[in-house]
Parts: sequence; structure tokens; C-alpha cells
Amino acid sequence: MRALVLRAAAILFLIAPCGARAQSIYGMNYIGEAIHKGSSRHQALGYSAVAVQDTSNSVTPNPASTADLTMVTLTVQQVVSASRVYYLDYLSKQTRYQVPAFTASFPFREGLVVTAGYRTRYCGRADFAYQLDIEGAPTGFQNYKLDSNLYTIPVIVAWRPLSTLRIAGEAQFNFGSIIDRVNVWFDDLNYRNVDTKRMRTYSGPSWGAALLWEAHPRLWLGLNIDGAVGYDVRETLENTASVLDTSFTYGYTLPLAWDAGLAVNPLGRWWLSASYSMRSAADPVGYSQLEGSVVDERHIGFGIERRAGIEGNVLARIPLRLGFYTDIWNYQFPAGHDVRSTFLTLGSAIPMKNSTGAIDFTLEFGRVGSKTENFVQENIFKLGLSFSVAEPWSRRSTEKH
Amino acid sequence: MKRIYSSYVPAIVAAVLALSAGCGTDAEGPVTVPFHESGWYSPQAGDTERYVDTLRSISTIKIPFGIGHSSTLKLGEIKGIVYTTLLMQFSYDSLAGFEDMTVDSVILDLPVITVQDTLFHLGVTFNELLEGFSEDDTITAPLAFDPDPIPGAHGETVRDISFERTEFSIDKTIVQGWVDGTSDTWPFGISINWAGDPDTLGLIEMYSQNFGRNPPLIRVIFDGGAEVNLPAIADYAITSDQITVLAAAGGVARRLFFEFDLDGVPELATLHYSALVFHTDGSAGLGATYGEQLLGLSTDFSYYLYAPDSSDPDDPGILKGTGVSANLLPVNIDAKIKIPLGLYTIDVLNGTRVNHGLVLQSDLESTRYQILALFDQAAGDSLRPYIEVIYTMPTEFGGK
Repeated sequence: MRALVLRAAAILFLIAPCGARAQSIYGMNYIGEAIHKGSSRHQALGYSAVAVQDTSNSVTPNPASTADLTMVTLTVQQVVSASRVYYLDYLSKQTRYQVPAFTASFPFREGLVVTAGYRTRYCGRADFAYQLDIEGAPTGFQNYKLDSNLYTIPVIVAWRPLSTLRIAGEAQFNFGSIIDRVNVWFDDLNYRNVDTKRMRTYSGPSWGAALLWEAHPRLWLGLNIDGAVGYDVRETLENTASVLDTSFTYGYTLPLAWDAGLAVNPLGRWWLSASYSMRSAADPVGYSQLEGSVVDERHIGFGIERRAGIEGNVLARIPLRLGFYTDIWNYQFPAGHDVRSTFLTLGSAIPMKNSTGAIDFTLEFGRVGSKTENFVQENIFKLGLSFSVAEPWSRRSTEKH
Repeated sequence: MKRIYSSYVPAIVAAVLALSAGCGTDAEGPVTVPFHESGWYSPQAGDTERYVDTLRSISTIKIPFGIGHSSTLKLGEIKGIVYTTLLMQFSYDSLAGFEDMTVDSVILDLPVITVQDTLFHLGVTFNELLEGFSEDDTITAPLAFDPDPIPGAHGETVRDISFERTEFSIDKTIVQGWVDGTSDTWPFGISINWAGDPDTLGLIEMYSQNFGRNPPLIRVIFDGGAEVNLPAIADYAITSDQITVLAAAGGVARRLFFEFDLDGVPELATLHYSALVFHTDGSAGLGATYGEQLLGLSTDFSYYLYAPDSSDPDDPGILKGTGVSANLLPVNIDAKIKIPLGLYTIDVLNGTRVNHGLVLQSDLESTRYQILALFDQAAGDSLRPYIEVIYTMPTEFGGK
């Protein structure tokens, strides 16, 4: 157990200082999430794994699956992306990473598991500038910076009341902030910067419920409901001229999302999975400019997995995964034009020596938006890496003696 | 050990990947343009503007002033500063012990450093002062003197000072009377006055007793060759301000009072910068005379800009106030000068300070004769003074 905690601390220590990058250049407004749940295994299946049983990962798209964990399990997942953003003849190369998701699951008895951790709901970043040419003044610049991170601390109780049924309830404690900074400055120390910072802090609880049903040994069905989040938003405006400062509060509701899917085992170790998820269009509170262009957020994913074998050569003993998914983002750009993501995924896993854990890794290739529909197109390559370790409760006491 | 090793490798790999990935991001500028310009990403910086006020008025505040402790004495004129009179007091202590001797000759030795134009010469008279002076005084007009000039060895009364002639004879009978005790010395000293206006003006510079060596003196030569020097123990150059251009000047002295309005700056503007802007007229500026430069004095004009306590020219409050800026300026070249106003304009705009205008003066007003000349409001748009303010309006965020 001590080693498990040490590993977790090492990973978080090394990765957390990196900060978080937006998941896409389209992620500049928070009105939905456009972010996927699950470990790199589920990522490799095109995020279609809501009905896929998982006995080694604590980070899952379906909390009910954690009921199958039999040991204390820690999972950390990190996604790094590199992209090329195109607009007209302009090209911008971007790399993005976000604070890794991590959860720890504690089985109190067989079929009853409590899980808690951290998951990013939204992270938007932007940093760009325009040049100002003012007669008689040195060169000036308008700088815009968006720095945001909304996250959830989930507490999940998963239960397996029947050998074929897993259910879970989830309490979510949601926090975070979205900060927009505008800075006007001149290339002359005699010129004072004019800074404005809008900070929106979000907080609010929500709930979730999930079900994973083994309808047949070769057919699994899954459902996950991510309840609406009733955020209390406090917005403060800080200016170089403090007389312009303001502060007020309002409410914002992130609508309920649901994810339903199935997993089918047509042959041997081969499994097919599919899922559909959606979140209703939000009332664009706080983003009035999006009025009329907010739509339902939808996701369709498909995956195929050849699960790991216990015999044969190395290739036979590792899983192979392939997936595809497409998203329709929660807002249009420009109005009337949906923003679509389309990705191909592939991945595998390396089992951990002397542990039931694994290192899952995934490569994604795809794009968000298109130049013809949305003017801006982002071609993205993502690398997902999950790291799961597990130890039985009994190990600690054994080691003490 | 093997187990720990296998666990840490992926952690390190993940960290390295994350860190290295973060190093290669381009600026997002051009590709975010459609999001921003359409308002889809809503923060929008307010307009940044430049406001110019061409000043309601510029007036000159003349301050009666004189410099008694200058290291040089001057006669003549330079850039409108007219040195009309020199005052000198001498020490006669050295005459003690020579009571029975006969004076052979007497010379007034003026230690000239330089003459602005080697052809320049100035007719002057030496007159005995009828009232005393102190170098600490502010003397702006000639003191009372005996209208009969002190004669020379041949009875001459008008002397001609030039580059080549800096020693002048004094009628020896005057000094013989001092030696014999039959007449008084010049207890208040002498004044050296222009005998008339020269055809062309120029400047003669000489060491003052304040320089510390080589002071003006009266040299008494006795029969047999003995000499006694009676050095100046106080001296003073009286000036007249005849500057004809818009200028701030030290020594004479004059300040410039700028009045302006900031009503054109919007109420919600946040200032980046504000400045008093003017163009110097190098041909009318004076940083240091040639003699002062030989003595190593700086040619830069040391200015002090302050916000006066009053805008009423008759109120003493206009002569003092809160400092806004102080620095050095070149005055011998034509240049566009911007004096940043720092927090002053911000304070005026937010109402914490009353706009009484600004006053520009020499920061060496009591020690140096200097002129900062600038083009006035009648000059063209490119040359006249103005107040410049660069500001940005509040950012619009859209939002709720």
C-alpha cells in the first residue's frame, strides 16, 4: 500500500506542474464539456466502453464497473495532444495536456467498492495577441489569455447486488474557475499596462448513477447518467482602474448527460462495443454571445477489442484495441454550423509485473471542425496513457510483520 | 526492487512526455481571429486612443532673481540674458604696513576666462558703490553708485574690455590717499557698468571670487617694486531678462505655466501614458556658456515640472506645488521632448487632484543661467506644445 501511494505521489508531482491545456482550440467557451471519461483502455475503444466490464481500472466511463475491483486500485490517466490548427493560410502548432484524472478504489467487501478521485470537466486555454498602431505611441499590443479548469471530485459507491448486475451512485463535488485576462501594453516602460481580469469561480454539487448489466455472457449493457450540475458562479472583474471593478453572482446549470451502450462478444476474445451519449443544450448563461448557437452535445463511439490472453507469445498476451468516435460539440461555429470531431483510436496495454495493474496506452488521430464548415480546422494527434496499480487490503498488515 | 522499478518507469515516461509536449506550442494569434472577431470568444479589449490637448494657454512667470554665488562673472548678453552690472567688494587688509610708501601704479585686474567673440568689446565705467550688497541677496537692479566714474591713470573714465584687455589702471592718487589715511577706501566696493550699448552684443566671462582662485583684484605697485593685491571678497553679476522666446530659464528667472483641459478624455478611460510634449528651439536655448563649459559645467538643462497649488498668477501658490517630473534635457538642439506625467493625469482624471495646470522651471534656478526655449502655440501643428494622453477604454466581456 505504501508503494502504491508513493507511485501516485510521484506521478502527480511530476505531471501536475505541467498545468492543463485546452482539449481543443474550440474549447474557449464553457457551456458544455466536450471531454470524455475513461482510462486509456476506453479511449482506445473510441470512448464506446460504457458497457465494457473493467476489472483493473479505477478510472472508467461507467462507475458501476468499479464494483468488479477486488483490490485497492489506483488509476492515473493523462492525455497529451499535438495538433495543427488551420485558418485560411495560417497554421498554428499546438500541444495540450491537462491535469491527469486519477481515482482510487477501495473494495470494502466483494462487490462493494468506494471510489474517489479527481476528474477534469473542462479546461480551456487561449493566448493570443494583436498589435496596436497608435499615432505618436510606441508599438502596442492587446493580449488575450484564457485560463480555466473546472473539475470534479467524485465519490462513488459501486455495488454488485447480483452476479450479473452492477450499479453505482455518485456524488460529485464540482469546482473550478475560468479566468479571462486582457492586457493592453506598449513596448515602452513609461507606458503603464492596462489589465483586466474576469474571474468566474464555479462550485456546485451534482449526482450520478450508473448501471452495468450482464444480459448474457456475450452481451453487456451499460448506462451512465451524469446529473445536472447546478453551479453557483461568482464573477469578479478586476481592472487596473479599480473603480471599474465589479463582483456579482449568478447560477448556471449544466444539463444532465447520459451515456448508453452495449458490448458484444461475438467470438473468443473479441469484443465489440458501441455507445451513444448526449447532453442537452445548455442555457448559455454567462455566454450570451452564444445565444442561438447552443446545441445538444452528442457522442457516438465504436470499438473492437481483442482482450489479453494468458498464453502464447507477447502479442497474444496483450490486448489490441481499435475505435472510432464522432462528437457534435455543444455549440456551433458560426451559428448554424455544427462543430464535429472525428477520431480513429488504437491502443494496447502492458501488464504490470507482480501486479494486477496495467499500463494502457492509446493513439488517436482525428480532427475537430473543418475549414469549409467552421473556417477553423484542428488536426489532432493524441497520446493517452493510463497507469493502474492494485494491491489487496491485506498486503499492508502482512508486510508489517 | 524489481517491482518498484517497473512501477516508476511509466511514471517517468509520462512526465517526460507531458513536459516535452508543452515546449512546442505556437502563438495562437492568427488562428483565433475568427473566434474573437465574431465575438464567439467574447472578451474584447476597449479601444485604445490617443488624446491631444493643444493647451488652453502658456504663460510666463517671471521671478525677480539673481545669482550671487556664481563661480563666474559675466558682462554682455547671451540668448536674451543681459549681464548689465558687476559688483565687487575688496579686502583692504593687505595695505597695513605700507603706510609710508609711495604708490607707483594701481591696476584693476579682471580675470577674464573667455570672450564669446574675440572681436567683441564693451565700454564700461567703474563707479564707487554707495550702498553695500551681499552675495546672498537677490539683486535685480543696479545699486546706487557715484555717478562720477573712477578715473584711470590718465584720467580716462570709459574703459574698453575685450579679449586682449583685462587690466585697467586706476588713478594712483586714490589709493595713495588710502595708504596715507587721508581718504577712505571704497567701503561698499565698486560697480562696473556699461558705458553704452555696443554695436554688437557678446559676452565676457571672468572668474568670480567664488571660483576659489584667481579672483578679481586691485593690484597696488609701490615705488621700489613692492606689490600688494586687494582681492575681491564678494562679487555679483546683475542680469536683466530680455529673452524674447517662450522659455523657462534659470538665474533670471522665468517659468512656464501650461494650462490645459482633459475633458476630452472619457470618464471610463484607463491611462497608459500622458506627457507634456514640446519642441525645443535649439537656437534660443542655453545650456552653458563657453566659459562655463571650460570650467566643466554641464550643458544639459535640469528641469523640474510641478503641479502648482494654485492657477492664479497672483497667488504665491503658483510658485510651489507637487513635483511631477525632474530630469535633464538637451537645450542646444531642436528636439521633440516628452515629459511623462506619471500619476498626475490619472489623479486629475479620477478627481483626487485639481487641475491647476503645470509649471516648468529650471531645477538650477538659483545657481545656473540656463534657457530651455520651445516653440510656442503659434508654431505649426508639428512644433507646438500639447498634452498627450494614451488610454484604453474598459474591456467588454459580454457575459451574463
